[in-house]
Amino acid sequence: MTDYPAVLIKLYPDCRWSLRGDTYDGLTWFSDTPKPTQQELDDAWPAVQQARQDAVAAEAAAKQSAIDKLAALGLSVDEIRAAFGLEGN
Amino acid sequence: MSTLRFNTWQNTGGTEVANSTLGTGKILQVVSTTFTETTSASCGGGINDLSGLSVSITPSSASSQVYFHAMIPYMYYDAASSTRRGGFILKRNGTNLVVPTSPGSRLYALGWFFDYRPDDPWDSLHLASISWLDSPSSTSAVTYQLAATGNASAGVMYVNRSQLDTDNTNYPRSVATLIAMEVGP
Repeated sequence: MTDYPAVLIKLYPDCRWSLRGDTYDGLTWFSDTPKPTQQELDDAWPAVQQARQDAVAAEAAAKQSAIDKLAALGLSVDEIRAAFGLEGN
Repeated sequence: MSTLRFNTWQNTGGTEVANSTLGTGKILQVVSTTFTETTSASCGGGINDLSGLSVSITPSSASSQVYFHAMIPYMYYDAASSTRRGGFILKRNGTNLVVPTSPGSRLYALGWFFDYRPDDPWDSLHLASISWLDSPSSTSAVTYQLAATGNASAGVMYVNRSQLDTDNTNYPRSVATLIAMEVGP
């Protein structure tokens, strides 16, 4: 199911809108530009979803990389957690 | 049904109490909205209503005040930057009530949020508690509406859901409540 806010901020970052509920029917468009169609937003969702999943994965990888580097410096798991709030996967 | 009519009231000391003072400061009516859906709004480009986050009350007296209270589970998220922020606005019949003195170029908002902490940028849900004592000076219906605002485009205020909102137990949904109470003059 399309996450409409995620698609809207990707395709229309400068537009004004609100969405009540999870479906296109709840979309109110405040901007002067034409309201995007449901088809347009639904078509864009797979790419937006993939980009979002990639971002989550990249963030997790970056966190794990930081933990690994700190551990290589000799910090224990407890020290890394206490000093940086980082916990490994 | 029975009706009681009194010409005069007295307190326990025998002193007459004017009818006009009865009910002073009392809660005369309470209306509420329990909002169980999700709602969201873009935070750039001005103030955008959060659809569904409103409550209406019709004061019985123009001298009454209205105490507005809301508990809003929210997440503000910005897709583009960690330096952008959003907040809530309270409107009465479409008019922004949140107008600070000498704001300059600063934005008006009740609270000023951003979510970019490394630990929870995707799945956190915070709780905003908003109270406002208003004097609408009206006996017509008064609608209190919450809206979102922010300092740049690409920000979104989510209510009752997190940004990622994946359908599993790592991600929350919630319920927002809005209450308006008429306080007697």
